[in-house]
Amino acid sequence: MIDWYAQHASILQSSLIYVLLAFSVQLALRAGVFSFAGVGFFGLGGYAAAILALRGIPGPVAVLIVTIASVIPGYLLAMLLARLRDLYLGMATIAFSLMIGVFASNAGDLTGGPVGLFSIPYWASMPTMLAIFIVAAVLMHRLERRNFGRGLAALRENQDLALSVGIDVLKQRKFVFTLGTVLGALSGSLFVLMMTAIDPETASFRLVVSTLTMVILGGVGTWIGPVAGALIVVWLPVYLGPFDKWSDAIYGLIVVVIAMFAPDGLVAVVKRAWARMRNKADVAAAGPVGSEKS
Amino acid sequence: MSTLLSTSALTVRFGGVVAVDKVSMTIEPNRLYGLIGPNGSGKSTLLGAISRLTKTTEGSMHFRGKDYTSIAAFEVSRMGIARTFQTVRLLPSLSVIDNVMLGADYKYFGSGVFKSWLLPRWSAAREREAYAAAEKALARLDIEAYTQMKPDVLPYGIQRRVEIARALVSEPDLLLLDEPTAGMTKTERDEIGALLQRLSQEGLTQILVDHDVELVVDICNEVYVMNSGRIMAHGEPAQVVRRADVQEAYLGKRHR
Repeated sequence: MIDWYAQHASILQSSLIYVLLAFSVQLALRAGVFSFAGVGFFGLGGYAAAILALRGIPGPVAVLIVTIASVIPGYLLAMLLARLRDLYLGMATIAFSLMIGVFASNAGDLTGGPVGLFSIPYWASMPTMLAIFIVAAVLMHRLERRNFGRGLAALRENQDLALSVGIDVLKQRKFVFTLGTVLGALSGSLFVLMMTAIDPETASFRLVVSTLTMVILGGVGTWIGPVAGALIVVWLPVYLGPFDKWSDAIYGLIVVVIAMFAPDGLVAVVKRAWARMRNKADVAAAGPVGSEKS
Repeated sequence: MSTLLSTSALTVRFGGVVAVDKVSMTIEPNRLYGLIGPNGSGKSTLLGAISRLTKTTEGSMHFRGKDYTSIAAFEVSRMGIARTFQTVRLLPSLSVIDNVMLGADYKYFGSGVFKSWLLPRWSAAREREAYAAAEKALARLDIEAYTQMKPDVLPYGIQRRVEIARALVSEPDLLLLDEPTAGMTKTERDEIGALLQRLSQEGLTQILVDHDVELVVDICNEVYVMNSGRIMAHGEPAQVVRRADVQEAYLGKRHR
């Protein structure tokens, strides 16, 4: 057990880090805000944390500074983009994410150019990451309940209705957008301090795709979706390792199969199965069908 | 008593089409108004303009004496004007009670984001209040039996009632009803009519857009008739619908 943990500690930590990134995209999608800005902020936060750490700022302090400070560019970007809808917003935020890489390649010594930054002082603490994950999950969960749950559902499904019941649609969109960027920056800063290196490929299109894969596999409906999705995307390749050159193909096949047979995510499938089991139990307990007045 | 809502030369243009043409109307409190007219005469667009979901081109609107012609749409319900929609707009992912609570959220939780997010006890207390209010609204419409169901499994008539409950739960001063009886059976229509009349007796001001002229004549205190974006007649319902020009506008095609 301890051996296993020692071998897999960094993968466990990566999982938690990617869950935060997946949260950023899932929250946005659940509110009907088609934003991948979290991925760009993963890169931005990563570089910011790397630069701070290389100048002698302790890891946890760097993460804290980056996370809090990311609210400002996050909100500015939200003001600029929140009026865009659907695919246009998706494209704009993907472009933003790719721009981070382009900027990093050309910013000279500050970002280390195309080579990136390395020998960054290592900081990764499992208890801290777990604590961050728990806090994030609790806060995400609260955004699914009560007035938030209802409001975000209205935001996603019917904006005229949302407006007609007094929801400031634009403000809510900006809130969700900004929160996504903060989660992205938090996740990126943790990632870079754990990896001790960062280069312009960090926030590449590949990361957009894998984050979206996590969210779609797990499901957009609840915070559990991104957790399940991130675990699959991070761990599946580990176990497919023995298949060597076939591992990518098998991975792709599994993703396609899940997407085909569980289009609303694995969590929804499990929930439905659970509900069906409970229903059967209820029916069995209630006696023959039709004995109740409907 | 002072006028609740007034519009003055209100105009809505979509490109070259004038959907609402210099409409001036006055809504006095505690009355039930009918807004009728042939298809495409601009009734729904006028409701859209009054609720600020549709942009107005010219003219002005006052609510309780305050000009609100250019405020944001979300502020309209906060001000005390609630509405229902021509096509039922219930969120399929939420239960009936949650759909109704959506209408109460601003009243109980306010507009702040962080309080309800970071203070679970505070928000739990508000949630209980909103839940109680929603339960009351459902009871008012005699649909409390459906509280926990998802709206898409319910008959259409019940869905319509849930819509009205959602609009009522914020205790508005003015309720805009966009064809609340569309697609209903005669019995269901009569029930809704009786309900609206009861609400009116309780002091709720309403503007009812409906195709069912008989219903409008039966329950409304006053009626506005629209044709081609204009108000063509206004007055006591039974008299207005007997006017030759109103009959012509409604039935003209059939008679020719």
